[in-house]
Amino acid sequence: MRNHRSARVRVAGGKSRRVAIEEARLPADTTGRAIAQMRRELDVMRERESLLKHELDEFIRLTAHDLHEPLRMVSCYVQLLERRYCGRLDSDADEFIQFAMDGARRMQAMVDGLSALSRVTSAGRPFRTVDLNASVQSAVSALRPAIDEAGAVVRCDTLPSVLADGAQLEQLYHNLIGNALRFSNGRRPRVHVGVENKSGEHVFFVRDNGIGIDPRYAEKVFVMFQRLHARDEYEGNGIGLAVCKRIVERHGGRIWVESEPGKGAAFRFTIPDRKEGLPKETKP
Amino acid sequence: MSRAAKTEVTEVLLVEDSPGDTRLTLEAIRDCDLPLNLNVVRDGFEAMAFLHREGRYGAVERPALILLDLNLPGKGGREVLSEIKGDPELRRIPVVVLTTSQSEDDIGLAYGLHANCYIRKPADTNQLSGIVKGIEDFWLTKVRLPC
Repeated sequence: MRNHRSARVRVAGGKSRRVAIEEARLPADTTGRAIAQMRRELDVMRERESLLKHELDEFIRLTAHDLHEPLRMVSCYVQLLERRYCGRLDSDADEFIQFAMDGARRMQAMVDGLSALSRVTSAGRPFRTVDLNASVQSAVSALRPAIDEAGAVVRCDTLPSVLADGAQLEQLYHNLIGNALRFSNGRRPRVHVGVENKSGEHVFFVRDNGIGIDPRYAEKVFVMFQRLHARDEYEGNGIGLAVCKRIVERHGGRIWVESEPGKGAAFRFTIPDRKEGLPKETKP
Repeated sequence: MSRAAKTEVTEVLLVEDSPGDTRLTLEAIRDCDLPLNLNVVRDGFEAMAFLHREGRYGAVERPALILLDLNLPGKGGREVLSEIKGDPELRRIPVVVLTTSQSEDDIGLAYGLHANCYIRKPADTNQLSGIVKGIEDFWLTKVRLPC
C-alpha cells in the first residue's frame, strides 16, 4: 500500500506543475534511521577497505624485502657454481645449473617488481604542480637509447600542468612509452603522447602502432606478473603496467587501454585536476 | 702510493654477520686477485674490540679500510659507524657501508654519520667483483690516505 499525494513544483521555464508523489508507507523517522544506519555501514566499509589496502601494501613491501636476502644468496651462489664448474662436471649438471640460474633470474625480476610496486605508495612524495611536458621530456631522454635503437618516432603534444608526484608521472610516461617501443610489431614504432578534453576532464594518452592487445586482455595487462607473450618473444617482467595503474590510482585517476590486435594500442589515463578529494593515503 | 711500491697485503676489516655474504666477499677478492687480507668480525661489539685492539684483538694491525654492513645483531652498524666517526683516531679510516637496504632513510642516515660511501650489495657476482675491485682500486690504490 502506498500513500498518494501531489505537490506543485517549478519546472524549466518558470512555470509550475502539479506532480504526484509516491512515497513508501514507512514513517519518516524510520526512513531517517535506515539512512543513518546505511551511512554508518558505508563508513565502516570504507574504513575497512582502506585498512585492507594498507595491509596489502605492507604485505607487498615486507614480502619484497624479506625475499630479497635469501634470493640474493641463491642467485649469487648459483652464479658462482656456473662460473667455476660449468663444463667441468657433465652435461646434465650444466643444464641443471642453467635452469637454476634462469629461475633465480626470473624470481629476482619479480621481487624487484614487487619492490617497485610497493615503493609507489611507501616512497611516494607529496603532490605539487607538475609540468607534464617536462615529465614526458625526462622519460623520453631516459629512453633515448631504446628510441634510437628502434628508430622510433615519438611525437609529444603540448600538455597541461597537474597536481601530482612529478617523479611518479615521469615513471608512468617512462613505462608507457617504453611499452610502446617494446611491443612494436617489427615496424618502425610511432608513439604519440597527448591529451584530449572529454566532458571537462583531461584524458591523457600514449598511442602506438604496435602489435596491439586483444580487448579480452584489456584488464589483464594491468595485473601484476601477467604476461600475454612468451618470455623470449617480448622481454619484460610483467610489472610495468601494474606500477602504472598503482601510480594513477594513487593520484585518484583511472587508466585503461583501447586496442585491437595489429592496430596499435592507446593507453589512456586521467589525473583529476583538483586540490582536494584525493584518496586518503594510509601510511604507517 | 702506487701498487708497484706497495708489496705487502693491505688489512681490511669486514663487519658482517652473514656467512654467505662473507664468503661472497672473499670469493670476489680471490676472483680479482686483490692483495687484501680480510679480517671478519660478526657484530658491532667485536668490530669495536678489533678497532680498539682489545682482548683477543690485542695484536691485530689497524685496518686501512672498513667494510660495514648496517644490519648486525647486538650493536648495529649505525652505532658502529657513529662510534668510529666520533673517535679522532678511528675516523681517519674510510668506512664503506655495504648493505642490502635501499631505503632513502638508511642512505641519508649513513652519510649523516659520515660514512665515506654507501653501496648496495648486488645480486650478481660479477657486479660484486666489480664493486670489490673498484673499492680496492679507488680507496686503497688511487686515494692518498694519512699514514
